[in-house]
Amino acid sequence: MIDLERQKDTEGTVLQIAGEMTLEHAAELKQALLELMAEAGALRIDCAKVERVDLAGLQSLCAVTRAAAEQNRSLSIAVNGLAVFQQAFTATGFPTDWQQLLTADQSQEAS
Amino acid sequence: MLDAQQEAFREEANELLTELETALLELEENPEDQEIVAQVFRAMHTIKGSGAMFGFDDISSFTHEVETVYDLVRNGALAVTKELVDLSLRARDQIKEMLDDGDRVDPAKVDELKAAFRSLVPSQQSESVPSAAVAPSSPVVSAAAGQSEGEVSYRVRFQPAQDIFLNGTNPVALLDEMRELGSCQVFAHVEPIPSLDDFDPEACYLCWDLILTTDRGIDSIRDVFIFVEDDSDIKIEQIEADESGKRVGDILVERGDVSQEKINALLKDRKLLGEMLVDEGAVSKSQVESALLEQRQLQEAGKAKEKTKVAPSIRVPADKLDRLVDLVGEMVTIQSRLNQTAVHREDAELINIAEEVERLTGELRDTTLNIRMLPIGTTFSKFKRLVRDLSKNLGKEIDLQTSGAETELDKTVIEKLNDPLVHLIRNSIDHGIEQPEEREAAGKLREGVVHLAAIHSGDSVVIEITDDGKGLDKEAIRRKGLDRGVISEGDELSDQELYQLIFAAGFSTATNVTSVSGRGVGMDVVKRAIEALRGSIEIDSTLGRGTVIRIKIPLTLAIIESLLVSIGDERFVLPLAQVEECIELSREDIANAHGRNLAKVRGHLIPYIPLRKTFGIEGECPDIEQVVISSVAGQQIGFVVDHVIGEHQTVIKSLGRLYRDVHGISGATILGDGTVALILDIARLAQEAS
Repeated sequence: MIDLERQKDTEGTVLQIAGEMTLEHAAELKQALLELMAEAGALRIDCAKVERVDLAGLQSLCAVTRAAAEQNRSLSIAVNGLAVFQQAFTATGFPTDWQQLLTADQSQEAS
Repeated sequence: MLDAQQEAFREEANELLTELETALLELEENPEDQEIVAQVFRAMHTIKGSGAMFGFDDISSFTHEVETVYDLVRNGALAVTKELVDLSLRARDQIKEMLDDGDRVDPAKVDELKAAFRSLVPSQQSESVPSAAVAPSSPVVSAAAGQSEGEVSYRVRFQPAQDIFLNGTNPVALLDEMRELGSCQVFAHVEPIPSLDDFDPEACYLCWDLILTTDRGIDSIRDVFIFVEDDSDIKIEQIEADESGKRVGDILVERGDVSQEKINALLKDRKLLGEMLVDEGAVSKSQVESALLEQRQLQEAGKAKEKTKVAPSIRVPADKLDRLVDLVGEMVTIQSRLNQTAVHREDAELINIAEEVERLTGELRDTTLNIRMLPIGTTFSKFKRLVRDLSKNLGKEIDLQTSGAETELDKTVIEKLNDPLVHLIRNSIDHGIEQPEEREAAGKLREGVVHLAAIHSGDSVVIEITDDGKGLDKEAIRRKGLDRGVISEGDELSDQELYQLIFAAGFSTATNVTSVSGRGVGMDVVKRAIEALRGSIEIDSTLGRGTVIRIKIPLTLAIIESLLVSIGDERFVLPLAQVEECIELSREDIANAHGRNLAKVRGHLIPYIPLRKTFGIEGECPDIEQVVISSVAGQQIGFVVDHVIGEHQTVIKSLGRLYRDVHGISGATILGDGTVALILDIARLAQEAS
């Protein structure tokens, strides 16, 4: 099960992800991320209620991070403090500075 | 979907089991060969792993025990003995049985074998951690291939195929397995992940660099990636323990001065990396140059390796292939019709096109038939096992030698050839080769030799089964023939004719019946099977010295080169491979023969069969008839026809059920003008005439 809810608040739009951020729901997740990107203003992804995340879930976050950098959008994904994600990062050997890597890559291309 | 996957697993496992059998038999001969041990281990490992993946838990847990033992063998903790090979062969058969009909397997047998394997494993090693079986301190560990003492570091680059998730593999599980092997650092590369628009949520974009320090040898790393090595890019390199030989970047990473990500980002730009490292004063310029040189060399080596990679293969169901062959057959038929029409119309342009089409269909035909060609070696390797088991049963010592295993034959032919060959080899072993004592008394080596050879000859393949046994006793065959009334007292038989008697139903010269052969069933079946393949079988033998059985079969069953002939309005084709020559037969010749059907060819008398009479075709024969001389079982025999039209590409069509019992006709073909020509069954016609 994955729960995807988009909400607007004063700071912009936030996508709340809850449940399983896994391969089974990867297509659903991509759709939700695309819809999020279509919103104007600052974007946030809230992963606090994610119970499980696998490689496919992490890749989705990378893809949206890259998309935001390409379009010069402000996107914040706060996952670094979350135990579920910490575990997944360790298991997959994800670099801790993955967000910088993906955005830095972009700015390099742009320059 | 699971069913399809299970089917795929069955197929894969069957292939592996065949490989395994071959490997085990080789291992018996070369117990020291580490390559073969590794091969056995890998086969077991794969069966275990993919068995578990597709729900064959019994097989998986059973194979696990065998694998454990071979892991010990691989690491030098256990020696290969005859008993182990015996046991392993039984285990192989057991797995096959479980694979073929899992429900009817006797669990007691499985447990017994399991226990047998378990008893081979030294007791202090717990069952749950088989791979931990070889402790580094274990004194029995010898320096096996690829294994060095102490801890060694490896750099592994693992780039899975994008669709790895769809195959049901989780790369993270592989990373975990690596971590179990020793101290392991894992770095994922996130750069290949595309932007959201191009992002396939079910693909795997990541690739990994792993640095593993372990005492378990490079093989244990390979085993981790064994299921994915086919479609993933995996590079395993040993990192020199010698500090000075280490690459600067790695040292920096290990010291923690710089993160792997940083290095990776820098590595993209040669200048940046060099400059930065030099700027930092960490290394000298020349050191960087040398490191870059090595890197480039590695890259080039990698590229070269990729080029020499075996061409990828795909699995295609056999019936699709058969359909293709059918279509090509139709195509060949239509093409000859096109040719005929073009020539008939005397249209130069059309003839041009027809010739072009002819060239293309020719190539298409050869290519298509080639797809179905398989080396006969796979069948040969099966016989190794047969000979091994049989000779054990009979208390004989026999060495099976093979040659020409690479000879290619149509797949269907190979399949149909299997049973006859089994019969013939059984016969050679049972009747041919004598007991060791008997052989010694006759001044031969104790060990008998059965030689199995395949040789290409024109559009046929000749398979020879040679043994150095006691040979055929012509007198015994003659007596038996008289007893059974197959021949009569006054018959003058050539050796060849005498030997052919063996193929008569119910004929056996063995004085006592063994479990293996001697019931007289078999040789007639063999002969029929070979003839059904449009082949022939001959025997040559020297009493006391041995026997040669020679089988000649056409390469393919689908399309043959043939000779088109006519009698009245009817057309017939004869397989060209069996045709020796054509001669004319005038009324005068017939008159000179005084009513006997004999034609004189260069001083020899050759019997002929007037086909017009045999088939009851009405009408007058021409003044000069043609005799097509062919060779059947070493005997020349002529077939009288009205005209010889010429060579023809014959696409063989089988006759309907109704015509199955028609003698002398083995099939039909459609000619260019749309009419049907019958294919003559030369062997049958000759047999009936005599």
